[in-house]
Amino acid sequence: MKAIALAVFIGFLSAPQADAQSSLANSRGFVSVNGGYRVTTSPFDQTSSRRENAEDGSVSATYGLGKAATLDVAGGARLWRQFGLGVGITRLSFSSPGSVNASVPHPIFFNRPRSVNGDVAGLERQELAVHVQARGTFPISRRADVSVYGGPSFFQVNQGLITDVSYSETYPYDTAQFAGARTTNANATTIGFNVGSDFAYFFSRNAGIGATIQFSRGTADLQGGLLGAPVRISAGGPDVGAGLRLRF
Amino acid sequence: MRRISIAVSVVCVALAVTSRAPAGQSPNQRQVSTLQTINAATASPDLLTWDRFVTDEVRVGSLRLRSQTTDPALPQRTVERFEQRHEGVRVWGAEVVRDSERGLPISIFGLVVPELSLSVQPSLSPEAARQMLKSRDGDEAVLLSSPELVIVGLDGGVYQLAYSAAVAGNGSVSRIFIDAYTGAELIRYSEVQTEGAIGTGTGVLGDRKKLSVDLNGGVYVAFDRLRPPIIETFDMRGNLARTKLLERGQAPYTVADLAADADNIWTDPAVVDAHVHVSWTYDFYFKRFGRSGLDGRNGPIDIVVNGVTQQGALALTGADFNYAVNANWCDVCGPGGRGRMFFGNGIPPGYFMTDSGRNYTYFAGALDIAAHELTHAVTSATSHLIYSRESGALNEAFSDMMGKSVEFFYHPAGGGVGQADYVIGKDISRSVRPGALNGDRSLANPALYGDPDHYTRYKNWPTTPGGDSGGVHTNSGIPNHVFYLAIEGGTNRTSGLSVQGVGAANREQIEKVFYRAFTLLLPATSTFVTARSATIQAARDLYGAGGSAERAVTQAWNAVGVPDPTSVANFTDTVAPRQSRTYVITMNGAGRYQSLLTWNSIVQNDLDLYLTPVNCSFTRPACILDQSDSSDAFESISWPVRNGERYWLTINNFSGPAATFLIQHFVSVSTASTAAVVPKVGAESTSGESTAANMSKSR
Repeated sequence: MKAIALAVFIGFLSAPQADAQSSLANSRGFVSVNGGYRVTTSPFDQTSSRRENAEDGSVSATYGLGKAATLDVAGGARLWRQFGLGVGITRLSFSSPGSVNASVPHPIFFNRPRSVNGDVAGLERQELAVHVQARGTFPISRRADVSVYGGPSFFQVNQGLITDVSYSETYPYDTAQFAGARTTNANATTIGFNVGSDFAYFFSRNAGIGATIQFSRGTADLQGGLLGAPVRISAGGPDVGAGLRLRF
Repeated sequence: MRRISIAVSVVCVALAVTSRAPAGQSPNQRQVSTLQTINAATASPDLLTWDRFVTDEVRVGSLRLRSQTTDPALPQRTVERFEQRHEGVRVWGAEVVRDSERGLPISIFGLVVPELSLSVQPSLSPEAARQMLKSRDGDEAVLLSSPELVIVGLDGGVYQLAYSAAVAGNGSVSRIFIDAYTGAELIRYSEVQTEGAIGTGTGVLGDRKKLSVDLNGGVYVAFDRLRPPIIETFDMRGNLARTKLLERGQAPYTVADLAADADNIWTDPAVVDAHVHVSWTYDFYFKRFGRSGLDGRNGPIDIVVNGVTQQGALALTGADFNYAVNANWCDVCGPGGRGRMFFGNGIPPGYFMTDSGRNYTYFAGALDIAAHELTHAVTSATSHLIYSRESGALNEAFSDMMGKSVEFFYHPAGGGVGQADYVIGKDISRSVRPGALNGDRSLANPALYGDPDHYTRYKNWPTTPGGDSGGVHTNSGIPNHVFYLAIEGGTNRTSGLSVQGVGAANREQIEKVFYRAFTLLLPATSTFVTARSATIQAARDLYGAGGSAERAVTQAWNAVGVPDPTSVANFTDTVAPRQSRTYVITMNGAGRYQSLLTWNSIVQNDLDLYLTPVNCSFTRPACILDQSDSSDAFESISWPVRNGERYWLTINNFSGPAATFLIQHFVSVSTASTAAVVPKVGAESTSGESTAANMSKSR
């Protein structure tokens, strides 16, 4: 990654004069490096039930929205006219707030559940996505072009999950106090899709800057969630980014 | 934990013995080894050796630090807990705990498996292990933890590579270990320590309840594990002889006597309701009054049921019938004389008691009866109201009051079975004969069951078992009605006096007033007048003078004709040994004359009290209108009178030296205009009219 960035930077410095006659659509390939931002992540929740104190109780976990910086690297080649094929990689990591809400059956009476609530911090989400992109690149001026792309995405997700709630109780057990939550990390891979658009402005023949807006989505089942039950989550989301552009 | 306990208790270091697995097993899949116990307490000569051992094993990775804790009681100490690893794989349960201070070891305890040579390469993948673990507990089982590759110890000192996970399924949560090569289940144990202690059962009324029980030797027993005191229910299984043996303390309870159930779904209604209703009563006293158990010290509560089966009751004769159609608390019964609660099973459906026309089923099924009986234990531990005459009636009344309070605490209000009202025992005492009533007594309308609802209707029965110890169960109707009126309000049917109660929503106030008065303020020989004063005082103490609680209680006592003590006259005198003194009493109102005699030396003297017509000596039985000659510490009489009537009141020193005595007396009237009148003690001689100087008469 550092090598690519260095190459882009050197290329940018060594070719300050843009070739006004060159067509962006005529380049053979490109590389882009974006620093970005996941506009919104997908909250999710999970509810499981279990037999406790001779009665059915339930535990719910809610995972809130998180804000995430992304690093996006993409490259590709022109195959025919202004159309080509690319591959992008997006990586992000963020911590999302979580909460757990349990209905704990009373040990002495039927139908008198105690409510146990608490917040859970430190639930990390790490996401690595490989986007295969069919691209169309269209010049809008001598120095600028716009690309649109879309295709399948391959996601690898690591998510911190709440597996159970701990509580304390004392006689006469009419209330129970939240003591903590047990968490684990679960991995899953899945296939989804991506669509996006990229705007590039070139200062020179080979180097420029650009901005991207992209949306990707995949659905993954993580094993070992609340009380051991699997939980379905969404990977991907709306990303915006900006960074360097290279063409060959 | 058990192994660690063993380790701590055994002061030796076992030598490691390693041997190969039995034939037929791959030599690196199983291993037999002897556990190595580490027990190096302070000043142990092995302490430094074991400290070096721990340090070396940590360095090579055989021990891995799992936690490091500081004891708040000894903040300078650091307790490290290490778990044993073999080639990175945890050896399940093998731990070493080192307590040190500034780096110097103080003690080291632990248990490790020496010289392990097992292969840690399983045949099963983690995913395969996950599926196999999950399949152990049904289709809906879930894993609560990821499968972990461990080395687990089995019986016979065999160690084996295994996958382990906590699995929830089939209504329980278990830690399961499966063979890491074949997937066969090796061992399992419960991950839920309390689940096994909660059973379910069906009570006498067909209602489902939870029971706090204990798992003992694979069988659930009725031994409460949730509450502070021991609450245990013993099942006599119809063995009346053993019931009596245990009641008399002539044999100890055994585990075999405990009520038991194999699947923790209890079906014996007597056991279910006895165990639950007693526990609920304990809870009520704790939640309502902050009381810790019957004795205030969380003393054990032993419950006995099934002394006689319903069918067996038909063959009982005499007093034995009480083992069927009764429930009782006995302070001194049971092994060690620590008291016990007994519930009879009643009689078969269709049968009824000829005196009441009612059928009685399992007494344990009535929550108010359970609470009533247990409240006798509270009274015994507090005011210890003497079980005779007025104090006895107060004793009974307080049990009735708390019985109904517990019922209202748990059941919805209503007149049906399983609902809360003011009838004692209606859930198990049902009318069979036409015209008979459900239940035994009513706080709302005592007269409906033949009990007095007014002091003028006080029943002066003899203090014998046949006389119900002076009518304790019937005269309780008077204070019972006070309790009812103070809560619900209403009009006394005899006096016509109305009471503005605090309202059902505020019943807690009256319950606390009577609890405070009856457990803290009343002396053992209390009369109704004393109870009146004490409850009014308690109302002032708890809710302020002039408040609605005090008003309700005062009005209620007025309504039932129990007077203010300022309306009670008293006089004191002495009586010589084997002599008597007689006074002429002139009644200043119509109603019921009440007189209470107490004296200075209840140990040395036995004084008796008699009411006779003027000029008719108590020595002639035909003259006696009412008498009180019990062996109690007080005597009281009651007699209906009219305004202006004159009587002789005689105090007889039956035994002992000269005694100083006190007479407190009044006329309770059943009119709305006044609660009581003060009788006049006439200065007349019993041997000669109008001889003012001679008030006594010698026998």
